[in-house]
Amino acid sequence: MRSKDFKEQVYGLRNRLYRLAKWMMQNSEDAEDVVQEVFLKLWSKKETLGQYDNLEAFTIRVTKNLCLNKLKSKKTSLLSVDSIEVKDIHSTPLEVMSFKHNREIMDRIIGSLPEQQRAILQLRNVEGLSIRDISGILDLSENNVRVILSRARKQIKEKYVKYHDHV
Amino acid sequence: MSDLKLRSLLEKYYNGETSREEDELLLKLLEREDLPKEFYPDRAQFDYFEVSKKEELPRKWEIDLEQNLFNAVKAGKRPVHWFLKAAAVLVILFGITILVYQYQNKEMVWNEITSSDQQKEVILPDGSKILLNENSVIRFPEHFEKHQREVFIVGEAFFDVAHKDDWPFMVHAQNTITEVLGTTFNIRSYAKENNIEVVVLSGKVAFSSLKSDLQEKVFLNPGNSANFDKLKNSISKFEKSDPNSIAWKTNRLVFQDDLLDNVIKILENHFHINIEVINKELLNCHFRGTFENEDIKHILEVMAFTMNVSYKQKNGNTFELTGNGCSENKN
Repeated sequence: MRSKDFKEQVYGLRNRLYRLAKWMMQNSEDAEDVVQEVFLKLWSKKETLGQYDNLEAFTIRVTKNLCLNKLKSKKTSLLSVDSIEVKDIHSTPLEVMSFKHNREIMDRIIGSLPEQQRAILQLRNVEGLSIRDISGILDLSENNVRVILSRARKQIKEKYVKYHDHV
Repeated sequence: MSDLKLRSLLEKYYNGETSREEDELLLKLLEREDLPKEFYPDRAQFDYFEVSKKEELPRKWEIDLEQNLFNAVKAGKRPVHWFLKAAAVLVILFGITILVYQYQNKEMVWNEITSSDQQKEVILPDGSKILLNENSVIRFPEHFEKHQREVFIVGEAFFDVAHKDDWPFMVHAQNTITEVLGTTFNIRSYAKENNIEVVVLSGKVAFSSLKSDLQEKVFLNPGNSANFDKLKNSISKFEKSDPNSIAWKTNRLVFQDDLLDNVIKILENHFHINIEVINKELLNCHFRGTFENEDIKHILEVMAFTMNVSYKQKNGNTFELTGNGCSENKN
């Protein structure tokens, strides 16, 4: 692949990959690092990139895998996200009303979801990919993708309701 | 639309069965001013997704990466459109004007080309061809001065210098200077390594160091090589050069009864792999063979066959050699 094609076809996907990485890593710094690493890797392989008929799917898969690797090595040093209970966050009623606060709560909730659920939800609800594409990228059956998607959406609602009942 | 309809659409959504169009419709319905409170938790997740959609990489990140990727690759070959050729002529005419102007002002513009994990070919303004090995940098002026051609390198490069009488070519590599008129030679000067090495293939080369105590200069003919030892600050000249010193360019590896210890170091370096030797006695064995454009597996196969050892690939980059020394081999 020539540099010009790389610029258009691969580099053009950067923000999409960044959004996925941010969902997976749960912070922008790590996400920026991941996407940079992805591009350096892809660039060094640019001669062979032309072989992939779906470059977008390929780059998403590379990004997701790199995120999972990083998360795995991080987990040993950090306490597991699953152990953070949403109700641990203390807040005044006024704060509860604010948009920023709501976003923080949602960040926490999303962060508490298993990685697979996070990836599927992000690709579907934020990037608008079809179930079929997602199933190809993640190597899951379409039915499986739907089941995980459903679980993720339901969990977010449950945790959100639980939090607001608690306050 | 009634709340009933909204409710049934939401149910479909939570079952993971809505289409993209239905998701968009849901978003619209949930943005309603007079939305009943019971739907607030549903709206919360749709709001969150909407904000997520707008997130983008900071501009600074883009500038950094783009410099890393695209600016370092001027040397790539591409077919040139006739229009670009015509434009190039104009640019050159304009360039000459600038050149004359610059020459009068004695100002030099420097180019820098970096190879990361791939070799890169660079053509200098005088037509000299340089092949940069991995992780190396070359700095050269946009136009060489009238009395000399001067370039700076870090890392390793193979030079094919265009022959020009009365226009000496100088390569600065850390504290050393290599002077030539027109030759082919290789310089290896990685910051991490203790030695700076020059190997000459054709023509004559003078090699010296700013650091060496005596300001000594050695003259090298084809086949010769020289080393500058950074710790001792001294230059040594060798009549013969290691045939593998330019293997990175030629992909030709030659072992002439070399100790396996050395062979392994050369292979590890050349293929970017690790070779683990279980029985250290193996390292004293000798190995002979010439390989041109062969992959590591082929070479290990030959070693296994001739030296009574066996190898296996532990993972992508690590190989393991096992065996009990070598009786029928020399020594």
